[in-house]
Amino acid sequence: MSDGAGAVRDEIVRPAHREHLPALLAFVDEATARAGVDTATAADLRLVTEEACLNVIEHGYVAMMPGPIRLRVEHGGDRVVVTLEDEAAPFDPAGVAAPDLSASWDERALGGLGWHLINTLMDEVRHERTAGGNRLTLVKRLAP
Amino acid sequence: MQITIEDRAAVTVVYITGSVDGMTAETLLGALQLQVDSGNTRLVADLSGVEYTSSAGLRAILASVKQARQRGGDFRLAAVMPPVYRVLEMSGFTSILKLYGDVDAAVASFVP
Repeated sequence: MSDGAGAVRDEIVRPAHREHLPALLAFVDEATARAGVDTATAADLRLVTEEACLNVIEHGYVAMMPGPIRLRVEHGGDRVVVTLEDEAAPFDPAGVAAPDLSASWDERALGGLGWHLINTLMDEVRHERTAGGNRLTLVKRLAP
Repeated sequence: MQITIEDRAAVTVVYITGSVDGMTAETLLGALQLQVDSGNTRLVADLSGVEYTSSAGLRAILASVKQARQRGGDFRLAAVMPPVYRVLEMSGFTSILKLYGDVDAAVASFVP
């Protein structure tokens, strides 16, 4: 992301283990607080970060030794960008079953909610395959 | 996250405080499953002390609703805070779960 005046850039790397989730989420909380993001937006960013990290932990590395999660938070002017990188198996966004929001309670599936929340809460969601893994870019535009 | 159980005659109230997330949802699900397996299928959760839930929490809630209803009971939510309500609504849960303003109302709803 190109640097604007006052851009804040932070990064953390942790093993993709559930026990490291608190550290990853605390990092996002601190980064958004330092950047002066409003409480509601900060809560949304924390939520989507949890969802994205858990997807990497539970699905990305499921068939292999857990590798790293690299988490970056960038704040520049009118937006916050959260970037997650991993070295896991290819993630196919098209392969995530969208939850059927109109299904009755006994027909509702338990899965797919995390990805749905990410796409509902963020203004832009981009996935790319990198040389060794995946990069997920989440963009939240800030109120002027 | 902390869980306290209160038996009120035919209804069991589960008081939850803290965050229901990827670290704690399994504990909540286990506690609720224990109630259902013990025959306590009329359950109310007091969520006045919960300000945050992720999809892990939603899964625990949905799984508990299914288990309770499949055994002739229900799992109803009381005093849901706005941030949690928003996530429930986004996920289409507000149309399939029963929500009440407070625990007494939720408990009373089980009386035919």
